[in-house]
Amino acid sequence: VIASFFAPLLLAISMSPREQDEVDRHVRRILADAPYGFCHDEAYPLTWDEVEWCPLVQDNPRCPALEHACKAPRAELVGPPGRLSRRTVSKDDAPQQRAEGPDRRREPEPTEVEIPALGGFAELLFWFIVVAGVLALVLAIARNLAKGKGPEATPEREGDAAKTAADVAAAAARRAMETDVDRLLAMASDCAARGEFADAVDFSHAALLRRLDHDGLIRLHRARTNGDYVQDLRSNADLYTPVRDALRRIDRAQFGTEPPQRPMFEDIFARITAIVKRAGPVAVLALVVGMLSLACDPEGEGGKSYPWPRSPSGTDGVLELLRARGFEAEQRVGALDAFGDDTQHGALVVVMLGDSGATEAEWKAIDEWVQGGGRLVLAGAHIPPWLDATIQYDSAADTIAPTRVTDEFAGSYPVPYVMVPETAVLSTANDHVLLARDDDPYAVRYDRGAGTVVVLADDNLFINATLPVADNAIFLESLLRDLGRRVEFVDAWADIGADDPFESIRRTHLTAAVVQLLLLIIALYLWRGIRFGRPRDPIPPSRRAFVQHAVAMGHQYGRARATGHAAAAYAGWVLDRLRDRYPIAAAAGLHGLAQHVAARSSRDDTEVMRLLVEAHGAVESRTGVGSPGEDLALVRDLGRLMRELSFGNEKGGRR
Amino acid sequence: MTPAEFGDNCQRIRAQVGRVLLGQEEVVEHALVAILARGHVLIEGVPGLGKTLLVRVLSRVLGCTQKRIQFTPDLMPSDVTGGNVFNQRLDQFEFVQGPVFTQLLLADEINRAPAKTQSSLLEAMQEASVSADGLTRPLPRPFFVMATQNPIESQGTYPLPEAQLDRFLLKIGVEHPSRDTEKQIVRHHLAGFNPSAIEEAGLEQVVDAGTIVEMQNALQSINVSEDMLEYITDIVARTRAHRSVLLGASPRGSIALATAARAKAGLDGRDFVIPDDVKALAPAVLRHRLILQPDAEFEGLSADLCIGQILSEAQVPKTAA
Repeated sequence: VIASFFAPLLLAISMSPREQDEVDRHVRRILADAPYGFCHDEAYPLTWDEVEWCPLVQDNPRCPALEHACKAPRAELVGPPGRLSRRTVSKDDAPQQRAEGPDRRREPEPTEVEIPALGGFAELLFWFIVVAGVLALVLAIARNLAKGKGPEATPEREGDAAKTAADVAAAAARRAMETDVDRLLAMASDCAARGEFADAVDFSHAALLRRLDHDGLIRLHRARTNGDYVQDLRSNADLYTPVRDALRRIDRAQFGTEPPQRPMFEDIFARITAIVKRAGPVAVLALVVGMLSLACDPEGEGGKSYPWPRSPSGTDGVLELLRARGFEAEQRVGALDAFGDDTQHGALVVVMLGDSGATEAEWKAIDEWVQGGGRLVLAGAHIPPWLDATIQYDSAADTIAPTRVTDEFAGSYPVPYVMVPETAVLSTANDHVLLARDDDPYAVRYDRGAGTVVVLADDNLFINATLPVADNAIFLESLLRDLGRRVEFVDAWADIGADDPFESIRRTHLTAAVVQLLLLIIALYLWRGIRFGRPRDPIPPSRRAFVQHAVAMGHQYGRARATGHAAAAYAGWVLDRLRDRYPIAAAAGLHGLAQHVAARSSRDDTEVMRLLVEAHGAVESRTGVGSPGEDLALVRDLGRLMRELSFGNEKGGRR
Repeated sequence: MTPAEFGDNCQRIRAQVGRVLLGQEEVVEHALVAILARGHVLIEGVPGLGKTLLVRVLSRVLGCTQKRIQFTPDLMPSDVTGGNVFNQRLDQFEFVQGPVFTQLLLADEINRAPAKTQSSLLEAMQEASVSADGLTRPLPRPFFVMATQNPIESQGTYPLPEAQLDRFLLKIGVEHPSRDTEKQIVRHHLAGFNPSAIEEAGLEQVVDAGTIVEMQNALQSINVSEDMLEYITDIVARTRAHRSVLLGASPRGSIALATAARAKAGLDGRDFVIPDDVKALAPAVLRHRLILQPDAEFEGLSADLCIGQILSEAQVPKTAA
């Protein structure tokens, strides 16, 4: 009697009609946003779980398209479950019948693939490599920073009008060694400040070329001219003209009759700065466009995307409503066993949604937190052993019956019932039933220590789909306001991130791969690292001289003891040369040639004739003249004859 | 003459020549470089590529006289330079000028004449004067020789010795035009262009001989910086050290490269030489000054390839790399 007497009063205190209108206005505003596509797109692909809401959204002015979306093809989920999943339209045109069997959300987790992680010595080696790498990196950065301060640490340049060749060479070396564009520009400014405009122009020039080279727009090389670089940019209409103009001015400053002065430097510097700022974004833009084109879905979805957080199953709309109503509402990403000092004041309300879970240790920590004054809502989440409730699923239940607020709590909430799909109820001995379906409890309340726990059979009240339905949003706000003003939603993604990169590697079981990669890098460094590490000219392609080929072939003959073959080849060469030189005598045959050669070399006719006949015989037989000794004697005799005829004095003849 | 005026004159000359001579921009540019640098050009190419037309067009646009000598094995030196002929009416010898007394001379197929005849022309090219019977007669200014030789035929020819080749500032290889350019040429002829009557082509005379000489003199004011001198001498020195080159370019090659680079700078309206000028002209200046190793020739290497290697290795002054 007392309760029924005070109920209207409590109702008025909990939320006035004006505030209820305010909630309704916020809900309409949130759902009117285009990202909540299920309220605007009549072809929005709903999942099978979301279709359960269809009987509750007939002729709903807050979400007009959802009714039509119920008749559209169903969605297929792609990717990991929850927030990162992506929905695509089912290939079938008509809505499909839901497959028989257990609720899909409750299906077992996918099987994990266990990859063994390293331990013991390997882990020690891993950490050693990581520490060594970090130290090397720090050392390199420190060395570069020291180099960057180089120009400031050269006071001897002050007032040095006539620079020596060594100074010029040192400046050129600095330009060649320094590859950081910003540092080169800073060096240019420093030089200009000291009045060394020639050096300033050179550094500006280097900065421009380095920027273009880094962006892959030109190929920087010490033998390439400014004209070559301009040619490289012919296909780049945006940069071609400004770079060409800047390089023309640099040419004038570097090779012109007048040494560069401040106005000339400032003109060049301004042009280069503009190009340097432009070239980076152009390259980045090209890269991004390329990556986007690669990332495009080949199947195509007509440009539509359906992000999970703003789908009917997401929670962004609910969080937005709570924030609009003065709550500090957010998705929890931190660990479940560390709620911090805020719990001492009972201000934090943790809502664990259906796909969330906790380990035994975490449940223990949560229990301690609740007993210390924490407020916990378990909305379809796994129920810990210290609560005497279980969830029972009933897929055959009537899905349009209201879930009413029990008499015990009727005065605490401004609405008498909520409308959610009836797929689950609770089985509990607790008398503090907050919401009930017929005689089955849907939500119960526990007082545990100084804290409170509210258990719901599912998380339907906390997802976006609940917002347009009946007065669910008003009840939701009242429920949470009763518990606290700071709300954190916990789903499967809470506490999933690693605390540090090493933890991340360990969790992904990539330790072995990373160690192997580092070992490979070390091996590469030891093998080619020094050459990679120091700027130097590319090794020119080597080409063997013809004489080297001839010598190599001679060695081959020598190793094979092919004296006959060598003698035949050499004799053939000698006869050819003699016939070329004395063509008239050669026309008379070997005899005429021998007479002519004898006259030229002051040798006896007979001796020369014998030599030429032996040479001819060796050529004809292709196997030399006899024994190896005789073959070598023939080669020596022919060589002496050629020297006497001055063949050896010709260029290349000795070879 | 200011650099801008210099460049403007050259631009107008190129535009006028380009109206008639299609697809030969590089040859025209090299010819202008040689004229401005007081040098001469040796063109190697098959007949029918417009060499005679180039000389005639240039003479028209530059306002200079032009003559052509067809070199043959029986051509005598006096056929080139002229000689003393007895005048019976005056009862005395008088000098009759040969075709070399002109401003633009096309020496067609120079390698068909014997060495003695070639030498008579080469002396005129070097000294810009002709000596006969103890008297030296200066040639008109400007004096520019464009000699040609056919790279294909070798029978009955007298190749120019290296020492004489060295006297040409540039050696240009003329290739057949591209298919599109050739179509343009044919279209041009079908439209009524007659190469033997270029007076009807409507070409304008851009400058006169005096202006050309003035431009030649103006080259002296074009700056060749110390860095550029270093670059030029480095390139030439590398021709001597190249493993495939038996005999590299002489100091005359360095001078020729610097002079030609100056002319190129003037052509582009600049009063200073930049590395691009040197790099663009190095092949034309150096290719006929190199003698390759016999084994390099066996392997198919050419002077152009060697120069290309050298240019790809020689450090450009003021580079950032």
